[in-house]
Order: sequence, then C-alpha cells, then structure tokens
Amino acid sequence: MGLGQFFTIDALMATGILLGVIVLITSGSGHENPTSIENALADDLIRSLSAISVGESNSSLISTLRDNGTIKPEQLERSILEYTSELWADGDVHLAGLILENTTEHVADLIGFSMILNNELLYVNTKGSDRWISRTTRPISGVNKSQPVRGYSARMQFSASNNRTTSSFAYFGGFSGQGDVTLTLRDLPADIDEDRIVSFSMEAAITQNVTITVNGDSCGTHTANPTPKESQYFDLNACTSSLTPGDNTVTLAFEDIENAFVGGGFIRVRYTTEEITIPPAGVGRYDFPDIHGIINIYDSITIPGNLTSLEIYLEYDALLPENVTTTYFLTIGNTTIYNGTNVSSESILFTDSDLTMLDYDALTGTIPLRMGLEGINYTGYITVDTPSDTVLVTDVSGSMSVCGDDEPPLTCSYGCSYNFWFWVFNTQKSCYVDSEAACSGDVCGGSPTCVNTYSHDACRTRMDVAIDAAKTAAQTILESELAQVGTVSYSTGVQSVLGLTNNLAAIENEIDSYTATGWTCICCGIYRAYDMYTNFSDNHSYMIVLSDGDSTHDCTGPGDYSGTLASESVANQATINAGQYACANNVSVFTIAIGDDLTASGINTLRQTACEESMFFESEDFSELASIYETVTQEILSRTTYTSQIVHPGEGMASNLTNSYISFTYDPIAQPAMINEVPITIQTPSLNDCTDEFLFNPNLRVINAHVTSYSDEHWTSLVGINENTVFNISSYGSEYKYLGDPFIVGLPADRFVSGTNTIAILTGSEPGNETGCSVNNTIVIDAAVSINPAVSIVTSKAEGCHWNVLQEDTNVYEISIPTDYDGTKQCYYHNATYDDDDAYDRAAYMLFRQLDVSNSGSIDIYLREQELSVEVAITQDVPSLWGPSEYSIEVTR
Amino acid sequence: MRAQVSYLDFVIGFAIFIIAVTIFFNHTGSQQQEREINVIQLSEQLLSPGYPQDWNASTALRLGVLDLGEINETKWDQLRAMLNEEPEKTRSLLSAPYDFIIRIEPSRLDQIGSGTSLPDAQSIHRIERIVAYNGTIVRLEVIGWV
Repeated sequence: MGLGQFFTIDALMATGILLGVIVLITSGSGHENPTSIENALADDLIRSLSAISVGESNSSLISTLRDNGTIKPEQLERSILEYTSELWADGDVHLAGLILENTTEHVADLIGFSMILNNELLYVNTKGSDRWISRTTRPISGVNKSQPVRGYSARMQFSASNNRTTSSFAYFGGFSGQGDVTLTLRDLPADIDEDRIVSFSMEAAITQNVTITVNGDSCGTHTANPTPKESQYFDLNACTSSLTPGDNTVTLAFEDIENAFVGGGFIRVRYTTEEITIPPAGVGRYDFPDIHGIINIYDSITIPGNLTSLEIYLEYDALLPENVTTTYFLTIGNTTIYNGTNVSSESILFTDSDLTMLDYDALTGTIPLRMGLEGINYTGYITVDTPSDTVLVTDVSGSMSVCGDDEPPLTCSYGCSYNFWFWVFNTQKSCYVDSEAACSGDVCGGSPTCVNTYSHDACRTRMDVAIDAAKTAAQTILESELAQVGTVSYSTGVQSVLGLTNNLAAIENEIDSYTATGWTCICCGIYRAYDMYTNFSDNHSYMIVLSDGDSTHDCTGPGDYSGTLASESVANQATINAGQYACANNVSVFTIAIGDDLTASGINTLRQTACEESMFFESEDFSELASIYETVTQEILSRTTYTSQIVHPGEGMASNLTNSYISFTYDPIAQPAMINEVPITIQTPSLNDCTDEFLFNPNLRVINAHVTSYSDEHWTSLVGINENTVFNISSYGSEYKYLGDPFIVGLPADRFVSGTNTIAILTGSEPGNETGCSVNNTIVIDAAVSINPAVSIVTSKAEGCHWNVLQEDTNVYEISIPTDYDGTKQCYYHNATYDDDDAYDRAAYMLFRQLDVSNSGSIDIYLREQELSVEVAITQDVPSLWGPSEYSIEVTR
Repeated sequence: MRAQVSYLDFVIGFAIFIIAVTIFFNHTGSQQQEREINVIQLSEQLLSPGYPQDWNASTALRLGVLDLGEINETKWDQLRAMLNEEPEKTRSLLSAPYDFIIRIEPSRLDQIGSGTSLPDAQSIHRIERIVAYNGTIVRLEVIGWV
C-alpha cells in the first residue's frame, strides 16, 4: 500500500512539472516572431531596389556614374536591381557591390544582409551574426553570366511588300500559227517604266528565225536554234523602252509560213511595282493570239472551278481562192462552237444562250481548244516520216515446206509413177493450182509423164505463206519515204541476204527466191541482220525474226552466221543471246513463233529473244501470219511517222484572226490569299522526265497551279498528278488534229499533297502513239503562304548578310537580308553558315528553316528571285531572354 | 508518515503555484504580442497601394501609400490630412486599434500619426521597415501604443 501511494505522488509531481514546462515553452515562443519581421525586411529591401531606377536614385555613387557616362541614357529606366544584375552579367561584380552598399546606407545599421545573384555574392552588410535567418529571392529574367543583357532582336516574315518584284506573262498555246503571231501582255501596272523593268524575255519553241516587234517597235531578228520539244530563251531586254502601262502587244514575224508557228512558250516581263492588284476571284479570260497568215491554233482554256457563264468573241477575215471550199471552225473540247464555210469575214459574239451545245458541268479543268481549217481541198496536214531500217529475218528451214494454210494459190503435190524402159519409177511432182479440186491426176504435167498418180495434197506451204507475208510487210514499211528494208533468210546457216534498200521490187524478188531446206539456226539470222544496220543512234532500227521451229544451232557470238549444231538448251540460249545483243544496241527486235512444230521451250526462247514481251507474237495457225506481220509493221510505222499540227497552206490563201477572246466566270475551287497569307508564285526546276517528283511545302496553300508542256508539233496527251489524271486528250476524241493542244495544263489545288508529289506528262500524235515529253516542262504554282514570323534572340549586333539558299539541292535562291545590306558577308542556309550573334542572320535562318520541311538543307519552295519579299523589323536595346537568374537577399541579425 | 504527507502537500502546492505564475505571464505576453502584430499589420497596410489604388479621402476603402514599390508623396500627404481631419475614421481604414506615429528615417525626414506625442514607454510597440522614398532607400518607423 505504502509503495503504491508513493508512486501516485511521484506521478502527480511529474505531471505538474511537465505542465509547467509546457506552459513555459508555449509562452516563450509567443513572445515575439522574429522570422515574420525579418522576412518582411528582406522583401522590403528587394522591393525598394526594384522600385528605384538608376535615373532617379539619389545615391551619390549612382549620381557619379550617371554624370561620367558609365550609366548610359538608355539604362536610366532600369531599376537598381536590374542595373546591378547587368553589371554582374558583364562581370563587374565589384561595381555592383559598391552600388548596393551606397544605396542601402540608410538601412545598414538596421539589419544585416547579403545580396547574392545566382549564388555569387554581390554585397554583404555585416551586422550581428553571419547566420542568415531569413532569405527572399526574386527571379531576374534577361541576365546570364557573360551573356549580353541588351541588344538587337530581328523579327522577319515573308510578305508581298510594296515595291515588290513580280512578273506578267502572256502564254502561247501548244501550237500558235501559222504566220505572224501576236500576243498581248495584259494590264502592266501604271507605275511601270524602263527603270522598273527587271527583265523582258521570251521562252518559246520555234523552228525558224523570228523578227519581234513590241507595240510596233522593232525588237530585232532573233536566231532560232530548233530542238524538238525544247524551248529557247530570247532576251528582249533591249526593248524594255517600248513597254507601257496597260496592254502591250508582242508580235513574232516569220518568213516561211509553213514553219511560222510557236510550239508553246511564254513572254515574261519582270518588274518592280508599288501597285498591288488582286485579280477578282472566279473570273477568267483567254485571249486568242492574233494570227496573220493561216489561222491554225491548238490551245486550251483552263477553268479552275465550276463554269457559270461563258462568252466567246471571234473576229477573222479570210482570203479564199475561187473554187475552194474552206471552213474555219472553233472547237472547245470536242464540241464545235463555230463553223464558217467560205466566210470571208466574221465578227461574232457567243453568249450563254448561244452555247447550249456545251455541257457547262463538264467544262472544268483544262479543255482543248482548236481553231483552224476543215473540209479543205487546198491545204493538208503533214504526215511526217523519220528514217527507219527494218530487216526481215525469215526461217527457210526444211519444215517450212509443209502445208501452211489453204489459201490459194495452192501447191499441189502428188506421187507420180512413170516407166523408163522396162522399169517403173516413182517421183514427187508439185505445182500451183487455184483450188484443192484442181489437184488431181497429173495436173502439173511435164516430164516425166505419169502412168499413175497418187497421194494428192493441195495446200499453201509455210514457205509460201511466209513469202507472201514478208513481201506485204516490206511494202507496208516502205510506205514511209525514209524507210529501208533488208532481208536475211536462214536455215542451217544464213542462206541469203539483201542489204537495206527502198527498192521494193528487189526485195520481193529476193523473198520470192526463198526455198525451204535445212536446220534452224536462228542466232545466225539475227547476227547477220544486226550487221546490216549502219546507224543505231536514232533508235529507229527494227528486226522481225520469224521461225516455225525450235532453234537447232549455237552461235559463238556476233559475226557467226553459220552456227554449230547444238543441244536444245544451248541453241535456245544462243538465240536469246543474239536477240538481246541486238536489243542492247538499239535494235528493236520483234519475234514471231508460228506453226505447231515449236515446243514450249522453243516458244519461250523466241519470247525472250524479243526486246519486250509486247514485241513477241505467236500462233499455231500459219494463216494468222499475215495479220501478225501487219500488226508488227503498223507498230513500226507508228514509231516512224506521225501526224503533225502543221498544215500546208494553199496558194493564195490567207486569214487573219484579231481581238478574239473567251471570257468566263466560275465558282473557284480555291480561294485567293487571305489577310494573314502572302501570295507568291513558285516555279519548279525543269522536270527531268515524263514522270518526275517535286516537293510541296505544307506551309503553302495552292490557289492556282499549272504545268507547262512543250509538245512541239505533237499534242500534250496526258497529264496526271499523284496518279490522278487531270488531262487526257483521248477523252475528247481519237483524231487529235481536230482537238486543241494545251501548253499549260491546270493542276487542281486539291490534288496536291504535302511533301513529295508525282507529276506525269506525255505527248502524242494519236492514241497509242506517244512521243515522250519535253525536258523544259515546269510547274508554276500560285500559292498563299502562311509562315510564322521568325524572331531572333537578343544578339549584340544586327548587320545582315547576302543569303544563298539552295532550292531542291541545285538552284540557288539569293536574297540580301536586309535588302539594303551592302556588306561582303555571305551566308549559306544548307550548311548553316551565318553569324549567330547577328540578329538578322539568326532570324533569317529561322525563317528559311520553316521552308525546309524535309530538313534537307534546301528549302522546299521554289522561289523565283525576289518574288517574295522579306519584311524585317529590328529592335535595339532589347532585354535578353536569358534566365531567369535568382537574386537573393539573406537577412542576418 | 506525517513527514511524508507534508512533503506531498509541498510538492502539489509548488506545482500549482508554478502553473499559476506561468499562466499570468503568458496572458501578459499575449497582449504584447497582439499589439506587436497590430503594428506589423499597420506597417504592411501602409506599404501597399491601398484600395482603390488611386484612393482619396472620400473613396478610400483601405489606405496605403506605396505605388510601384515607392512611397507616393501624394498619398502620403493625403493620409496626413485625413489623420488630422478624421483621425478615428482614418484609424479605422488602417485597421489600427491603437494610436500610432509613422516616421521616415534617417533624421526624421517626415512624420505623420494619429497621436501627437509618445506616451510612457511601457505600452509602446515599434517596428522598422525598409522603403523607397524619393529615390532613396530609407527606414519607415511605425510606433503604436494604447
């Protein structure tokens, strides 16, 4: 019990003491709150240093610094905190400390404090202990150790600025002729004069020298250097004084009317102007070229939207010889708008109500337009030949003597028994008969006289079939005036040869002499034929190889015309080798496998001997040989002849076309440039091939685009973009000579994709007869560009540079930034060569970087020089955006 | 056993005495702390722009003399005038339950207040703040009393 009482007393005592201690501790902490006031003082100090500018400070030291120019006028607005921060960034920590000491002198005895910037002590006021009890910080942006705190910043963006450089164009059609051709350059700006014209030029495909006049003023005679499907550049800068504001005419005069035409091209004036003309949306116009000679126009109109109204005006006159029926016609697409037979003069206006024959809904995109002559007996279209060499390589092996078909004249064969003294002999007789019924008895007659005949068989031998077909083929090929034909017959080796000639009789005589005998050395015939060609460069060498059986002989190579009997596989391979050798040397080898003697491997051998699969023909039926030869020879003809757009004008004929036009309105697919967009015109480099690729920058929005196509005297037949056909002339008809020929083909805005685009262009003279494309074709895009302005960081200088920017790795876009930069510094975008401490350079690089979507070092927009202005704004004394750095005040007591 | 009881009484009594003394001083300290907090609050309010920011005697809802971190002399003078003309209202707008004097140091550059002279030192509470005034960093002394 006593023990328990004692413990209770102890517990009460401990509790009492504990309560006392708790109360004491609690009351002690409530006496004052030192961190509260110290925190407030630290905040006070940093706020005060921020509030007083060095311009208004009454500090004696700052006053001295102001007076001696250490503090520059542009720095007067900065607070003491900012100014000392800048001194720190510049490395002058000592002066920063002195200023802080001087400006805080009235509070120095109040409290101890340290001023620290990014852990570097600027100033310490020692009072009391050196242990800080309160710390406050403030972020200071725009300062960084050893970095400029103030400087230049450039803001740059593309713009269609005043006084920009731009161009006006007038386009020729695919064929504008024949005679003197006049184009009108519309709406040159009111402020244009000789000084503002940067260049005046023509790019056109012409075939003879031309005399050019501008607004009636002579612009000299220019020499043509005609190359098919290639344009030629003509410098017209000597004639800039003849250009005036408004409409200007440029006339091309030729001497020889037969070649007086332009096969595509344009006239271009580049100039600077302050006039900004925004063409009305949804309105288009096509001006016919004025023609003085024989009206012969192949062109197109492009309607980039849904047609809503159309107006056509024609004005022409014609000098018509007596007893000649001549019809002038105008077609749009394949619809005839106008037919004027024997009309000597016409001025006629068509409006919507007169044009009901047109389906407006179908008139969108590029539509062929043709104006010319029809129903003529005084003029004619030219069929143009090109030289060609064709060798007929014919199998005359023994198997060719068997029956081929039943077409007369038939060869009647039968056995003949005849007496000689006391003996009876048998022999074979054969001769031609008109019918199978005629093949009976001793129909062939002659010696010996048959006492008995048997086994009559009437048919046309394979050899006869082949002879007839080869002769017809030769005749067909020689329809082309510049064609030559040679022949080679082969069996065990080469049997006979006739060199290349256009003498049809000689060819027929040679072919008629063929007789069937021996083995089948196909490679012998091919190598012999190959050695007959003399010119492989024009790619018009053809070989037609015929065989009715598998190859039996091997050849050692070119020059081996006799061959060696070999196994099937060796002989077949030798045949393939011979054919492919010829193919590799620009000889187009066709092969024909005919008859039912050929094995599968023999057929396959001839298939592989031809240059292409499409150049191999086969049939078991010899009666089809003639049609096969016909197909092959027509193919050769189509490759060597074509219909030209040129006409032969008749004597005494002339016609003039003037002031004619087509105007139309439409609902456009693409809207013009918006307020926040800059309109630009970009042009790709010349397209390298009929199918080529180009890059399209996603910052661009297509307003209008077209591709040019120099088709020479052929027609632009097919244009596609990204596998979408946008123009196919054959959809308007198969006789191209009645259809227009576009020089420019519209590319719908909605067919472009960001990044790589594919364009395909073909020309031709009739369906299936493609004639390649020009190497001068190019794509021109009117686009709206929306590119973010580029703003440089703060740099210590702003001088500028001459920039060289690669476009598609090759073309160089040159621009001086700013435009008045006259220094010598050269900058290069592709390898990032520029001064990164120059505000202009940094902003320019950032701007170009936006145009390099593929990050290839070349920009993806093909800018014509100065087509796009760079608008530059430079700002001086701009605070840097470094940091933020941390300005701290630690209070001690 | 008796001695033991006396010892227990002594211990208990001593503990009660200690607790009573502690509670007394704690109460006294709380009053002092409350006065000091009021002075700090007064200084905080003074070192603000007030409300509305461009207040005057008739529009003021809360008084403060700072603009852009520096004492605005116009506001300072308006406060002086208000303290002279309507001291009770002004004290209320400053949330100051006690009289006070505000001095700009060093050398008493200026002084305003709701009272004219300092009373005896026992009930005075005083703090110093730092403020920008007329291009100079100075001390702002705030003194409050009952």
